[in-house]
Amino acid sequence: MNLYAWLGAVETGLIFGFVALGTYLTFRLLNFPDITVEGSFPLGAAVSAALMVHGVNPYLATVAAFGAGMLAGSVTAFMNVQMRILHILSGILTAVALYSINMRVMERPNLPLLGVDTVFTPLQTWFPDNPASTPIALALVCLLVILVLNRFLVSEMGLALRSTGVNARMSAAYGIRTGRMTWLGLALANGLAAFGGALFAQTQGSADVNMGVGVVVIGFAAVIGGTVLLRSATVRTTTFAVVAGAVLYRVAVALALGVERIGLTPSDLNLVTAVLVAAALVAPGARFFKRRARATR
Amino acid sequence: MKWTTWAPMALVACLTFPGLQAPAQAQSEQRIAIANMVDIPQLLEVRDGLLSGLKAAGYEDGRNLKVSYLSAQGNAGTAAQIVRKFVGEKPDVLVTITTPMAQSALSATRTLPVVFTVVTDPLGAKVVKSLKKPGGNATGISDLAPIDRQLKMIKAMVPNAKRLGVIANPGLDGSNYQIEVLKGLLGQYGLSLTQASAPNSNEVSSAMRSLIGKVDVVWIPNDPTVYAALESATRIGLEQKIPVFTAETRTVERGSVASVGFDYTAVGQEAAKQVLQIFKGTKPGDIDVLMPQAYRTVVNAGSVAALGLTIPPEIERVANIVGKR
Repeated sequence: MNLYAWLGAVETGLIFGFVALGTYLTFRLLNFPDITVEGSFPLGAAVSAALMVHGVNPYLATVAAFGAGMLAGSVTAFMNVQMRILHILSGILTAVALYSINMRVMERPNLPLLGVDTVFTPLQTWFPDNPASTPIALALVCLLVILVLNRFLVSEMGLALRSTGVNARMSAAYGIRTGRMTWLGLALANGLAAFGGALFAQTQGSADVNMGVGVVVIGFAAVIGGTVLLRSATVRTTTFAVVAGAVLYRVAVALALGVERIGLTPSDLNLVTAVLVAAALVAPGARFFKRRARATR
Repeated sequence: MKWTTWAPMALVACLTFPGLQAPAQAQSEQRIAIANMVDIPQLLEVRDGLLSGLKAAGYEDGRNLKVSYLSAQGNAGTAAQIVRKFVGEKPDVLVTITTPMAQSALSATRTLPVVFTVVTDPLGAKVVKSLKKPGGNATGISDLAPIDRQLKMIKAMVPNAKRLGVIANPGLDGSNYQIEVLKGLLGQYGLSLTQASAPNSNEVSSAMRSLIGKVDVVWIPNDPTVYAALESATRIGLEQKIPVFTAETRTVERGSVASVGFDYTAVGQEAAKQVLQIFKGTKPGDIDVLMPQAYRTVVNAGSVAALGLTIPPEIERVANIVGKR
């Protein structure tokens, strides 16, 4: 594995880290398995790309992508809270619908961003030909988002959101408007996913309507992997673990891409990735390790 | 830290440390890297055509050519990583298959020579600024079929066709571009258009069913998604007596009535010529973006007979006939 492959894995991992943070909000904290990200990730890409192509400032376009993602999450929340559609199903419906929306937004399935100014353009002028500049910039943005999210999660509203996920009935009894909290969590989560999509399109040179394929899997794998690998007790450290999980997942993919020598073919990539992720999940949790862990606790 | 925590991390670190790479290659061999978006038959034909084209010119994998091939399995994140890995390996030429892969490659490198394939509309996809001497580090092969000739052939074989149906994946830039080109030509052939979309291969048969009764003839553009499940469309076509024409010539063996143009192997072979030019030292920016020019006419005699059509003599004279009568 070469330096570029390594940096590529970190870069992609950090971008999917935003999706992972969103998945953590919904799947872990709200107890709501949200499939909407499969559509909101490309939505963020589509909205930011369409705006940038029409000459909008790239930073503004990326923020607008976050807003569009929040809207998408709100639709899922509306279907679940108001129309009482099963949580998984509301997410699937929104994600399916977003395919058509994304086509409308871009007016074609693939909107190229090659030669268009993106948020990463200044990096290329300040540090020309430095492959590490984008991952480092992304790491800083990721850190900032994590810190803001951590601050939110210990605020009164954040605590209300978390308690909704733990016990909705009890929370309602204490005067928390659980429907609103579900809405807030979904909106934030999909905003983050769309934000990731916008950044991904800008590093990729295009927004493509098929970009969402597999995003949900990465989100779940990152949350589960991150929390298992770096077992942490508090919400504040778990947000870091979740992003680390996304990076580790992409590193696993990069490793799988590098094993062509030992008789594996490119089509084995998904299997190798799954085995690597499963091994990473199981290894620290195996039974005799667990007993020791309990003894030291 | 317990060893169960640090051991996997150390393992990952060792495996990934940039210093622990394979030693540098011998100078005598050329290296190409092929980045594919998804392993489906048509796109694999491009790769095989490329390799056979290189072999015909004396470059053989394992002898004086090192070929690295990776496919992203349709996952955009993996595509990004494949491209970066290849850029880091610095092959002599990076060959990409499909539009998003080409865009991903060009956003990752502006120096490494890139030869793109299966980009139907290279200008619209912004992978090059012009088709003649494109400049920069990229050139390649468009897979835009000769749609005008195909419509002419459809009218010759099904003279009373008035309503044309098209099945395509709306999520592919190339397919949409071909339909745009098609729309500009329909008028002069007196055809009306009905579109059916198949966003994935499983929906090809329902897209075909939706056209029953609405169209006299179906044309399928160069669309890897639809071609992957082509038989499900041609079978319904035979049952319902709707002739199905395809833009790519190899697909005729799989049950479509006829085609005029090229196959995906030819796309790969054309790309091989550009790769060879780059091996010899020509800059990619000085090589024109091309479309395969050697057109073939292919007719499936079995489908023609089953549909009660006849092959006009001017087509029969030049056609390769496949399938049993």
